[in-house]
Amino acid sequence: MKITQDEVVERQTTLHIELDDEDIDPYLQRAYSRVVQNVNIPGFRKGKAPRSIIEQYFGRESLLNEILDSMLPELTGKAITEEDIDAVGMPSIDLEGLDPFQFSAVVPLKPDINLGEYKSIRVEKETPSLPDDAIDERIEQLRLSVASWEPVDRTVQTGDMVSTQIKGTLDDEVILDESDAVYLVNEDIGRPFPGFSDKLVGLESDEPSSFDLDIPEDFQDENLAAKNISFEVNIKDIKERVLPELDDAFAQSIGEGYESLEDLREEVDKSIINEAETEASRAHRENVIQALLESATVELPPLLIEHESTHMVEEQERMVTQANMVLDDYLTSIGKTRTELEEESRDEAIGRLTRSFVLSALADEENIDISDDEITERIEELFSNSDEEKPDSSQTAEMMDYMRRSMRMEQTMTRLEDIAEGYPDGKPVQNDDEDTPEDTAEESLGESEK
Amino acid sequence: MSKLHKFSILRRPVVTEKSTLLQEENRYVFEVAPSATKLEIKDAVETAFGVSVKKVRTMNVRGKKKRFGPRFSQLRSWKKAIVTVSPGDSITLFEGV
Repeated sequence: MKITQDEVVERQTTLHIELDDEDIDPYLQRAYSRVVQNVNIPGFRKGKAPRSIIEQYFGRESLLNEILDSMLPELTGKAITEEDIDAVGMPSIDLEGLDPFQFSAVVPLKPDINLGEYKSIRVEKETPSLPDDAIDERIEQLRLSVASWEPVDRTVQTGDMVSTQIKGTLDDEVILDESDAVYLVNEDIGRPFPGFSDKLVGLESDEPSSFDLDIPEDFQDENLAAKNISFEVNIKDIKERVLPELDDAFAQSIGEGYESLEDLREEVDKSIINEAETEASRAHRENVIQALLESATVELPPLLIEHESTHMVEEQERMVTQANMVLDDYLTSIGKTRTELEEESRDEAIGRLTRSFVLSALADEENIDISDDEITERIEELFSNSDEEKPDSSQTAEMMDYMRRSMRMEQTMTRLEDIAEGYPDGKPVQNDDEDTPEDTAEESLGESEK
Repeated sequence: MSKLHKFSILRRPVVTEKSTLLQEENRYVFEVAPSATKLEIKDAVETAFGVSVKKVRTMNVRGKKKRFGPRFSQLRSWKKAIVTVSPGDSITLFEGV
């Protein structure tokens, strides 16, 4: 096997590989044993023809073609080990000739990552701020959700629900004809047409009326946009939304365990704070990562980006196909072209790759390692709470691998957050509660400056 | 009996499982002209492949009776020769594909 390596450009290199007969031989043998099972050669029983006969019968090249798909990546892998290259991702392989057997492989190299001054990243943790009326708002939502609709005997008002007979015509053509259509009279919703609800307000039930409506130019249905539609409506009944009283009975109707309105408020308060905190720590984490990404410089091999983005487009295509659509149609419906999608995926691929490489570089840099014990412990913990049976050992290996990676990421993130908080060398073990991390952070900053 | 030309004695190599096995023992199988003698075959093989022949065994292969639709007919009969060449010599056969 003769290997020549091109210069590294943009973190990828090209290997030119030429094979001697002895390198090819094992592959011919493999191709032969695959082919021989399926061919009938006169004079031989199936599967009994010797290799020399098969080679004469089909020719060496077609035998090689048979095995090429598995042969080239394998050989490339070998060449990569031999040349001692730090490869990541799939090489792109180009066959140049069968006799002599030559091919070239473009190999993406491990990206060059410079984490920069990541130890000096500082990101303030924002305290979640809640508007004062957050609780009231949430309770109002709850009220709306359990509200009932009661028939009323009056003219239509905003916020009512009406059921009506309706006939809509556009240039003498009936476009809508329903005997029992239900509409929510609310201009914010804009259904079925913008401005329609306003026209209903003030109508009485069982009194046919008609009106014209100008459809705005930016209406989503092009056939109707900027047209004038005449409607005939005959409202059958009008219902109004009746909100439950804010009392203990309401609290009890929301769910088990709420004795009084006070209980409910408390619970809502807790959950709102909880949500805000989760959101804040998520945002903080994101900010920290962004800061790290800004400090770091990464040079990604183009081939890797291409693979990732193709993969993403394929993924999207698969999802669209599952929804019984063709990707191109779907794209037209959201007003995008395939090229645009590909470009977008490309940008996102760069983002994703950068992120994952930077984080794993950080993990390496910070020597974050997860021991087998820790993983086993975690798995035990996970399964102790569930009825699921513990997987057997074969699955465990895969699972441990997965757990190791996710735990490593998790710890890396924690470490990164510690750094951002002002502990470049890891957080000291805390004895007291964690209510005052900012204070301690400032103190330790002050110390390190001395 | 008119003498056959040397090159019309060997008709084709016989390539089958059995004949391939025999090649291990330096024996090669040919279909030959039915009127060819062992000596003629030896001569022909030596000239055609440049090997020295140690032994020639021949046999007549009776055509099989086969049914083609309603009627029976007989496949042609032919003469088979198994030629042993001296150790070290070898023949590369090319079956016309």
